[in-house]
Amino acid sequence: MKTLSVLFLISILSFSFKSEELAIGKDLPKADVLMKSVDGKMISFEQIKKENGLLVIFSCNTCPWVLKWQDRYNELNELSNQNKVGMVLVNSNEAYRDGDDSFEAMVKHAKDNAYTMPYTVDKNHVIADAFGANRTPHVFLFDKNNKLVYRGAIDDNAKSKDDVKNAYLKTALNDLKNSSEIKTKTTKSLGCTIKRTN
Amino acid sequence: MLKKILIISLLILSSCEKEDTKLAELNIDNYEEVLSAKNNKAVLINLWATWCKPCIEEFPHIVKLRNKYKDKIDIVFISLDDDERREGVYEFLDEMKVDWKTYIKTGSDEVLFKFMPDDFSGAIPYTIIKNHKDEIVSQFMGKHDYDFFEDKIIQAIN
Repeated sequence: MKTLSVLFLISILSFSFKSEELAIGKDLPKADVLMKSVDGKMISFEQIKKENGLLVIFSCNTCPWVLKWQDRYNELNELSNQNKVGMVLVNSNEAYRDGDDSFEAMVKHAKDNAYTMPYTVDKNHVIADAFGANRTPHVFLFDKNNKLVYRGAIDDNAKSKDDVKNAYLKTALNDLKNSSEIKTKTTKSLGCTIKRTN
Repeated sequence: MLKKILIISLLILSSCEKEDTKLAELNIDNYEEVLSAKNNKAVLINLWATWCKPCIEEFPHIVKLRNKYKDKIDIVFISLDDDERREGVYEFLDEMKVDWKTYIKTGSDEVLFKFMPDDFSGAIPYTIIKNHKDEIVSQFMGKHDYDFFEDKIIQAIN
């Protein structure tokens, strides 16, 4: 009876915390879950991760803020590679999986924009739910111990990369490589809600 | 000739006036005033954009509820469209038969976040409802239906 009560309480708490963004210091969720990438392969965060960590960006095909910020995706991947951090884009828009965010549309979008990093399907948005991701783009950066060290925005200017004053994610990637403390650990950014089915 | 000039001038003036009363700029100087409850009425603040499908889908519900409860609650629509899309914003507002002042955000995103509640992560649509004392009584992200909005409005005005 006591076990049942505890399990019930945990399920309630899990449900109520579903929409909370993953807190700084928490472990990488769903590290071994296989996701289909646009190259047709199945891949997990654990496989993408490199020596110094992992960069996860929740993204999609049509959000105007993604379309503005994605001109920085490949250079972020280059910086991530240099800093021995794996990078991946995750599409959790399950409600649009028959349309704008279908796998075929993702393949085309990645090709049209010459993405150099994996772009994966988050089936039934289980990854987004585990992260508490709520928008696109939404950044989560993990260190070599799979601990979340930065969460939020790519930088402070979606519209123009030349007018960026605070390149939050680039700074965090360099701090990670240098084993320095990341001073700005969380930021906010405008984006489109992740299109969940529930 | 004079009559033609007069008519053209009146037309230009009326279109300018239409712009001022339907879509004003939201900037660092007026955020506090725009976001506050006034005249002993509650206020519903909705962040939206013309390209945001769920925003467009819930928009008519809010307009309908404004017409039903306008004596007790003000509706403040804030468009996050870029300046280049301003014409599209006007067209949509006309289509929705919005005949009161709405706003379009100008300036940096960081200023917007400074004036928004902490719970606002940046994802839209986003709605904040305050009672007549300017206290937040509910705030939520994502698309909602008519009944949901009406329940929240009723809570705020009672």
